[in-house]
Amino acid sequence: MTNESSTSQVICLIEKLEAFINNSRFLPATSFYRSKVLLALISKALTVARAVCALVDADFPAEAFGLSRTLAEIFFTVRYLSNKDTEQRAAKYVEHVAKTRGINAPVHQILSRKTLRANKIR
Amino acid sequence: MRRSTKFFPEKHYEPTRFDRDFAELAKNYKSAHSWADLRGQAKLMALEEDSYEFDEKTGEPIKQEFDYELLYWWTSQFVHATVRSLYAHGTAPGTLFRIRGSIHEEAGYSDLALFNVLAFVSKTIVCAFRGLRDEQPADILEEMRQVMSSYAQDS
Repeated sequence: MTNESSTSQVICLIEKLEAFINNSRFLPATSFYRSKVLLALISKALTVARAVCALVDADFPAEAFGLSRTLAEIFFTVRYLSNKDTEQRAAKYVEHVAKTRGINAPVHQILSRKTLRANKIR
Repeated sequence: MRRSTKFFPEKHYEPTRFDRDFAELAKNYKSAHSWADLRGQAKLMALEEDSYEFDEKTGEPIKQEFDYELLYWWTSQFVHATVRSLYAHGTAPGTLFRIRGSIHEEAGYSDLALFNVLAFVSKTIVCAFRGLRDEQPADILEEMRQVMSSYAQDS
C-alpha cells in the first residue's frame, strides 16, 4: 500500500466517525461532566488522528508514529474514565484545570498583554 | 503563580473573579501534572482491570498491558530525543554527514502510525460510548477492524 492510498482509507474512516457523532446531535448535560469530557476527548482523538495522517502524507513517518502516542494516552484516559465511577472521575479530570490554572493563568495574562503590545493592539 | 513571578518579576498579575474558586478546587490535587493524582498515571490507567472485558481463556478482567508496555513505550522513543529516534539521522563511517541522511530507514513507520490510528481510535470510541451509555457505531468499527487486519496481513 502506498502512503496516499493508506491515509485516504484511514481518513475516510475518520470522516465516517465524525459524521456519525455530529449527526447523533449530542447535547451534553450541563450538570454532568461525563458526556462533555468524553465527547471532547473523542474530538481530540479524531483531530490527532488526522494530524498523524497529515504527517504520513508529508513524508514524516517517524514523527507520525511519535504523535500516535497521544492517541494511546487518550485511549488510556477514556478507558479509565468509562471503566467505573465515570462521573466522579470526569469531575476530577475537569477540575484539575484549577491546579494548572493556578500556575499558568498569570503567565497567559502577561504573555497576552505582551502580544497585544508587540502587535500594537490596544 | 511561581512561574510568572520567576520569569516576569516586573509584571503585575491581576486576579480574576474565578481565582478564589479555582484555588479551592486546586486544593484537591497534589500535582499539576497528574489529574488522577496517580504516580505513573498512564501506567495505572492502562493496567486497571477492565469492568467490561474479560480474557476468554482465564475469565480474568483484561488490562492494556500490550498497549502500555510495548506501543506506548515504543512510540515514546520518537516523542523524546532518544538515541533510538536518531537512527535515520546518523552517518556511516567514512561518509559525509547529510541532514536526514538515512531517512529512508524510517519509511516503515508510516504503516505502524496508521495502524495505531485505527487501533487507538476504535478502542477510544468503544470505551467512550460505554461511558456515554450510547449505542456503538458498530458498522464503522467493523470497517476499521477490517482495515487493521489488512495491515497485519501486509506486514
